[in-house]
Amino acid sequence: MSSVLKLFILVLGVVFVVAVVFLLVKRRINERNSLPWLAGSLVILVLSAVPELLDFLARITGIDYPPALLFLLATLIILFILLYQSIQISVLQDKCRELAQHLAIINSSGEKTVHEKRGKMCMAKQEIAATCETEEALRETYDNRSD
Amino acid sequence: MEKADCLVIIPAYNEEENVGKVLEDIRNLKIALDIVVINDGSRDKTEAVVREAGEKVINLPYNLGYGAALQAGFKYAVSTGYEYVVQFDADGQHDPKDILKIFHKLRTSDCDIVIGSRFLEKSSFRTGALKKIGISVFRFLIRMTTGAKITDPTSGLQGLSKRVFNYYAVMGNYPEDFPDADTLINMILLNYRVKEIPAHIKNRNSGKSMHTGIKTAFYFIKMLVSILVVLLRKKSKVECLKNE
Repeated sequence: MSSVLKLFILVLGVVFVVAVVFLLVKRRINERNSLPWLAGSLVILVLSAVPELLDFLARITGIDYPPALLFLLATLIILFILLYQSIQISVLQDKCRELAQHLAIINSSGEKTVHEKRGKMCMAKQEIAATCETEEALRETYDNRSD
Repeated sequence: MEKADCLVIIPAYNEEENVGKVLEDIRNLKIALDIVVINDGSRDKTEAVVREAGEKVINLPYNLGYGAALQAGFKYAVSTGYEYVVQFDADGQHDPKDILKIFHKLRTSDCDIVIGSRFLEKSSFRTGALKKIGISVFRFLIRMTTGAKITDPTSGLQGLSKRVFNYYAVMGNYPEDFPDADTLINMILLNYRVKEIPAHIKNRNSGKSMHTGIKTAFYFIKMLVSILVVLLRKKSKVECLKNE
C-alpha cells in the first residue's frame, strides 16, 4: 500500500471520528446510536495503521484479492446498521401511533356531544320535576294540618 | 338517561360528503347507541360535519391509517366501558340496518366477532376481478390454516365483543393499515369465535376507494407476509407452551 493511500485512509478515519463526535456534541445523534459509527471509524483507523492485517485476514479466509474482503466486511456492516435502523424506525412508528391515539382521546375527553348534553338536560329536568313534586306534597301536608 | 352499552366506531378520512348522511341514517335507527367518529387527519370539513350532526369526534393529529384509526376507537371504547362495538365505514357503503342485526347477534349468541359479509347473499355490489381473486385466496388461506369458512375477510363492517376490542386496543395487537385475513386468522387461532351474517353493501356515494391500482397488488403481497408471520408467531407460542 502506498504511503499516500495510507495517509488518505488515515485522514478519512480521523474525519469520520471527528464528524461523529461533532454530531454527539451538537446532540444530533445520541450516544447509543453513535456506537456503530464509532466502531466503524475505529475499523478504518486500524486498517489504515496496519494494512497487513487485511492481507493476513484475506489469506486465512482464502480470498485472493484482499480488498474484496474489505468490501465484503464493509457491506455486511452497513447492512447490519441499516437493519438496526429499520428496527428502530418500526419501534418509533409504533410508539408514535400509540401516543397520537392517546393524545386524540385525551383531547376529546372534555367535550360533550349534543346527545350527551341532551341526556344531562333530561336528567336535570327529571330531578327538578321530582323536587317540585316533593315540595308540592309537603305543601299539601302542611295545608291539611293547618286546616 | 342511561349510558348505551354499544358504540359505533366510524373511522373517517376526508369524508365530508358522506359522513353526515351516514350519521343521520344511524341516528334514524332510533336505538340506544353511541357513535364516535375517528377523524383520521382529514384535510376537509369532516370534523365540522360530525360536530354539526352533534356526534362525538376524536381528531387524530395526523393521518395514521385505517387500522390505527379503528384502534383509537377501541381504546376509547375500553376507556369509557362499552360492552360491544361495531366498526362502520364513513363512505356510506354500509347499510345502518345491519348494525341492528350485528348487535342482536353479539347479544344473543356467544360470538366474539360478527362480520357483515357481502357475499353470503346476492347483492348489487360489484367488485373488480383482481380484488375478487385476492378475496378468494384469503378465503382459501383462512380455510387452510384455521378450518373456518369466512366468505368476506376484508369486510369493514364488523361487530366485536368486549373481549375482542380489549385485545385489539393493546399496542401491537392491531395492524395500522388494514385489518384483514391475517387479523382474523390470528383471532380464530386464539380461540375467539367468529360468525358471519349477510350484509348489504352499496356502491360508494362519492370519493375514492381505499384500494386502487398498484396498491392492491402491494396490499396482497403484504397480506400474504402478514399471514405467514401470524402463523409463525402462533407456532412459536405453541412451542413455548409445550416447553413450559
